[in-house]
Amino acid sequence: MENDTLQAMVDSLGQTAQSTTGTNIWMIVAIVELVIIIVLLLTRKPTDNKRSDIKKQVLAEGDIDFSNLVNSSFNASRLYKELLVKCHPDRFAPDTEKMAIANELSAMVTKNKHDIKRLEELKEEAKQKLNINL
Amino acid sequence: MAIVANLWNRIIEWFEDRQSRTKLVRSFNSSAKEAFVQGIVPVMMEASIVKGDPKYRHRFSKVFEGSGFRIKAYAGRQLTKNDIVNIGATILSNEILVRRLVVLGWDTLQIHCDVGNYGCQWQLHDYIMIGQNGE
Repeated sequence: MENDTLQAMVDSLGQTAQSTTGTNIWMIVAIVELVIIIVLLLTRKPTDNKRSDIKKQVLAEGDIDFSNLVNSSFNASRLYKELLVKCHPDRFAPDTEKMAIANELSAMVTKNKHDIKRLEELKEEAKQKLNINL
Repeated sequence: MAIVANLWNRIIEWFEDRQSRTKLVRSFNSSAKEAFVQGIVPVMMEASIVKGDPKYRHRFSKVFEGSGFRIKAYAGRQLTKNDIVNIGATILSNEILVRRLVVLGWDTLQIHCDVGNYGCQWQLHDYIMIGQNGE
């Protein structure tokens, strides 16, 4: 009985020692992998192909105003139509100076027909320069 | 060594692109949600990454990760074609956004609503003007 118990203890200790060796090997592999990744990260050379250049250039163009974009999707067309009618150069026919301003504003309104923020700015500009009620 | 460096750059680039794509979709969704909650827009919009149209592929297209940028409008009714086209035109008129979508691997813009079976799709490549600004 005692011999059996001792034998069981010896077996158990042997298995633990084997599993510890196995764990150590995998730990070493993981550390080596980590070292390789760090070395590669530190020695990384920037790509210099045209595709990457275009991507970098485009991504560096600045932030996109999504709030304005979403707002413009539904509300810009109404304001655009209103501004286009109210700023039409023919409405200021005798006054050549105002006609020129209206012409310029109409062009800007058409250019920014899907940008509500810009249209609001143009609306204020139209109010001031053309003395119209919007 | 050059092959390893190239491969490594590709891996890093893949992770960077993935991050940028997710960030863009999240930003859009968060703005759309906020606009809807505040009552600025009558429709809740949600962007997602889907399979794009193979006919619209370009050199930046991400075939296996989804090259379609889909916007679903939760209106509770069928939106008119004019409404859908308006949403699409607003997105396509934003040159910076279109260029960014293209370089991040999208080639198709799809817009549809939660009710009904029809929607619209555009080839993003037709609306980019890379290299025209700042040159």
